[in-house]
Amino acid sequence: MADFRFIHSSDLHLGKGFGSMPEDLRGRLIEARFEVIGRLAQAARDHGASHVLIAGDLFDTTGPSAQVRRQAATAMSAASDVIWWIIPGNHDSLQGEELWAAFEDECSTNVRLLRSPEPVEMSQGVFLLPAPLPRQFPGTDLTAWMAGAETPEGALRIGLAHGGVVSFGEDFDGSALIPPDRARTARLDYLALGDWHGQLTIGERTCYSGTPERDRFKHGGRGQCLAVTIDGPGAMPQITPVQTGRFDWRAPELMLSPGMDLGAELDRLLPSDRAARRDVLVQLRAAGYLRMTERAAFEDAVRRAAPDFALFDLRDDELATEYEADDLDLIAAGGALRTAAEELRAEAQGSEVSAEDRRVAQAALNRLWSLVREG
Amino acid sequence: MQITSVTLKNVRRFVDPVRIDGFGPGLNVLVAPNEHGKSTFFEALHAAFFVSHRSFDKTVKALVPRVGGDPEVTVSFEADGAQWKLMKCWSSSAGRKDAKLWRDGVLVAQKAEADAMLSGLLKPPSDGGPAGLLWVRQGVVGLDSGGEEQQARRDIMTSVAGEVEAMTGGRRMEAALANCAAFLGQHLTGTGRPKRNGGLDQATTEVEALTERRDQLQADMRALQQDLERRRQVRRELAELDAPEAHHERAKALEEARETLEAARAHDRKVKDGENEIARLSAQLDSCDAQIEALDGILTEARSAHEAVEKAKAIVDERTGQNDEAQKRLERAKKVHDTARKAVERAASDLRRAMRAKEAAASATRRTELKERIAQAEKLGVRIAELRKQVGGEIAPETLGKLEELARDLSIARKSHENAAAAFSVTYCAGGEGRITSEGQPVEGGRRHPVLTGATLDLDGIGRLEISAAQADDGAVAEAEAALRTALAEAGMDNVAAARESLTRRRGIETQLRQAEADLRALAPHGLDALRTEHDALPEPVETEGDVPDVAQAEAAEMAAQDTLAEASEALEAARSAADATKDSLTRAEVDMANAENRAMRAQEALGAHQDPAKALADLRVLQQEAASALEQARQAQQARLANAPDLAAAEAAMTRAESVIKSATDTIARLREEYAGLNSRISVVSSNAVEEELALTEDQLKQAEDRLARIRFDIAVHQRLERALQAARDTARENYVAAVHRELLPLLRMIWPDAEPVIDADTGLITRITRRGEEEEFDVLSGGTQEQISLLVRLAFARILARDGRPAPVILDDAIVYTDDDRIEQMFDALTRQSQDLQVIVFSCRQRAFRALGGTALAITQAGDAA
Repeated sequence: MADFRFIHSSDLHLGKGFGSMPEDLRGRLIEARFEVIGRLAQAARDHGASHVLIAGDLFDTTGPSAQVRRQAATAMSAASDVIWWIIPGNHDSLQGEELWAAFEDECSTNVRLLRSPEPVEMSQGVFLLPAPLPRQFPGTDLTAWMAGAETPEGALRIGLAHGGVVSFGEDFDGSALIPPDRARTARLDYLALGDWHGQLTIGERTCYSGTPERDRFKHGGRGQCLAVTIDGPGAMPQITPVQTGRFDWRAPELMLSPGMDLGAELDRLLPSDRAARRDVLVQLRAAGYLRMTERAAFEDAVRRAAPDFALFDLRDDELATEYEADDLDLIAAGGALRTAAEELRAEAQGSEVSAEDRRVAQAALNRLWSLVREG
Repeated sequence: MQITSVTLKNVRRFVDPVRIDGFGPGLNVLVAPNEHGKSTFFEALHAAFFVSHRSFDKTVKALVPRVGGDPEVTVSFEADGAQWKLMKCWSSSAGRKDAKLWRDGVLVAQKAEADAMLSGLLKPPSDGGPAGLLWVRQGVVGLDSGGEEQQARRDIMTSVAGEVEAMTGGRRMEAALANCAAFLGQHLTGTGRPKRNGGLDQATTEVEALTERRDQLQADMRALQQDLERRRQVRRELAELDAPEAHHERAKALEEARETLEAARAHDRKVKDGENEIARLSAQLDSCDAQIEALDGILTEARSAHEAVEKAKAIVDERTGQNDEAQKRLERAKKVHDTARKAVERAASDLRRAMRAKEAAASATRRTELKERIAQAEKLGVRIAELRKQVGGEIAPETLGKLEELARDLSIARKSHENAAAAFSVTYCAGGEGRITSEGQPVEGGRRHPVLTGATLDLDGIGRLEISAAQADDGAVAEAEAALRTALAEAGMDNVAAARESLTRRRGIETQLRQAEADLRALAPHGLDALRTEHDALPEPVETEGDVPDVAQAEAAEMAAQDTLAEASEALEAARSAADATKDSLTRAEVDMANAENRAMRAQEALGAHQDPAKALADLRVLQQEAASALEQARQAQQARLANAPDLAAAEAAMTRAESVIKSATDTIARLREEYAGLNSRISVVSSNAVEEELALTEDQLKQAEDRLARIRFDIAVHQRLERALQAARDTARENYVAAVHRELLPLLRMIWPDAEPVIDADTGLITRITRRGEEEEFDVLSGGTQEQISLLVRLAFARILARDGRPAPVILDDAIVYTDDDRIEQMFDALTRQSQDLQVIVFSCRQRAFRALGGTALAITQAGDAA
């Protein structure tokens, strides 16, 4: 048989609202998630594939709005040269009966919802073994049945599942962990996994595709899918990441100390192409400590750079300010202003008060410096 | 600290290095004309100590020469027992900015460290007060920003204000506090509560609204999930209940229960028939028993009733006799009572006649009396009228008074006339008395004799003496006489004596009149008409018939008749009670007899149905025996049926349960189908609302709002903390300043004004008033010279504060006392000299002559090499 090509993706989370984002950015992010359907279809065409596997969490919830559901169904149906193979994940499990019933009604035949854990022939000699989630926390390894599933001799066996191989955090159902060697025990040529939003290779035949459009800073960069080619039964799959995401999510960390060239450090972390920054979200975590004037300069530099970006979120909770005597001279060499500044510095650097009070005192001192500086 | 030398390079006009050295302890004086560079040294020296080498602000730019270059200042000084040298170079180029500090010839710090170490040397005293405030110049305001202001030539007091501001934070402090207040005002009220529609309030409201929304959506989600779970459950239950096997099973159970029930019911009917037969036989037996018992009863009653009738008849006869006797006694009592009642009526009639006769007699007596009084009163009335008439004919007392007064007037007029006329008097010799006569009468000697018209005197033995007198004016006498005549004519009197007699008569008549009027009032106190009315009201006399009894006798007879009537009434009442009692007794006896006769009649009627009551009784006893035997047989048969009876209740219960199961299943299926439809509808509606998606969005928004609220709260805490720190520092600075300055300033002030007492405002830190020679004066109204003297003394007080803290600092004066006159300047020099005993005082001045008297070490600006 000729090689078999397909696109492996997951976790589109259509309908995600991005309520924590600024109002003007929210719409752009929502729109980008919807557009990724077309980019996946295009990736399939580019790869010479006619199948796209969605390993769960096509929707963000089991109750998306009719608009989200209908437009997704329409967009997938419109890509009629592609067959979409979909399993429900933990976010959009089969408990969303209304969702899936309506979605199936609204889709064309090129959209295949897999409700049952039983082999489905995708193409001649190619069998898909799906593990749809009946509910959000299934409490059991849904891929277990694949080991005993029979398929014709010589057929390709491709698993499609959603869940953790290792615990990904409190949201994950530990009792439902998928064994890392499931591809081997179930004689799978490839096991397409979803749930992990970053791209992750578990084994030669087992991968998480990651979300095609990023939605958080946890996994940096732009979203991707995997273009997979299997030459034949038993052949090692050829897996190629394909960039599909529009927004670049970055969460750099910057350890600061007095004397650093702050402008250069900041430039090093940020993309040089200013035009491209419009589609970049930055969450900069600044730590370490700076002199009072340096901190002000750093904050100025951030303020100057921020408007270039879709979002620029400076997290400076762990950035301390160090005050030397001549720093306080900048506020006042003597007198009551100096006394107030020294009181705040003592409180900010002392141990008699709580950490929160120290933080308040430090911010108050910085504020005093700003007020004096602004005149 | 003590400055020993200063070197400038590239400072304003001094491009080439210049130097002042030879500074000593105590007073140092540089006196030079204007434009000689004194202020340049002053500014440069100030910058060296108080402007960071990194700065290139307007203070520093003001030092740059017109031709360009980096200003550089080198200062040597002694402090903390060591020799120090400070070099600062300011530049627009970061590479050329520099600061170096040597101690005892050894470089100990550079750049920022040098600035910091210098700050340590210049730090303010521990008990408050100014630092670096000993620079008395015309203009520069301590640490103020604003180049134009720094360049301004201000008076010395403004400089003090600036320094105090620097110490208490000044305008920057106020601006910072105002900024804090403005920020907090956006969020909080004056009492610290969230301000309505303020940032905090809005953020809090948003969080609350989103929390409420989130909770509602979560509730909707839970409801949706419950509905979904319930729908699955309903679906399972429907599948179980509605399956054909389930229907068949329920129908089969129902049929079996029905057959069992039918068999039980058939047997039950036989049992009931047996029970009915036993009941019928029992009733028959009971009927026999009852008939026997009834017949026995009737016979006994007939006998008893006959005896009762006989007994009642005897009692009625006896009571009839008693009743007749009582009626007779009652009749007799009635007659006695009638007689007594009539006697009472007669006695009462006699009494009334006696009373009427008595009243008529009294009326006749009164009539006679009134008649007499009326006659007397009428006579008195006539007499009174007559007397009143007589009174009117006599003169009234007041008329007589008037006449008497006119008579007196006439007498007085005549006397006056006589006194005005000529007169003569005679004095007789002894034995000559009476020998002179006039008109025959001897002329009295020893008194004056008026001559009105003339007089003739006969002189015994001598002749006649004629005396003629001029006619005197007698108009007043004539007038008085005319008035008296007119009055007498009006009164109808001839003269006054007649008038007096008339009045005497009048008073006698009036006495009689009063007596008559008193008598009339005694006879008719209420007037004559009242007497007549009373008389006319008296009854006319009536004639009496027959003998009229005496009233007392009539009253006694009437009382006796009343007593007799009372006794008769009592006897009548007793007789009537006795008659009623015997009548009641008779009636009861008659009723008892009627009842007994009724009983006897009813018993006879009952017996009348039986021809032969005894035979009837025997027949009944036979029937009783037969019924008892049949009943016993029926009971034995019933016991046998009951012993083999199936459990009908259990069969009925089984049947009910089987029917109930089918009904319940049918109902449940219907209910579940209805519920299923309802759930479908509800789920469909809620699902179409995208509750879960909305919830996820709301949770994100809530998180963002909570973060925003936390940031606002943090910012509020920051500004509150900053505000507290600023206010506390400012208050402490003011308090310390006031106490320290007052303590050190007082002795200096009293060198100039021995009793001076300054008042320092705690808020501004400035001297607002001063008391001199017992008078308090506002600082602002003092002369310019006095103001600058006080301000200089304030600086010297600052110097003392520093010296007391072990950090003596130089006092540097740049033309600080320009307004002070020559007399006062001597006293200021004394104050400077006093302070300079343990402080270094450096004075720059252009007043060459005046400052010659200051003494101290003379300084001069000299050229210096780069090596300096």
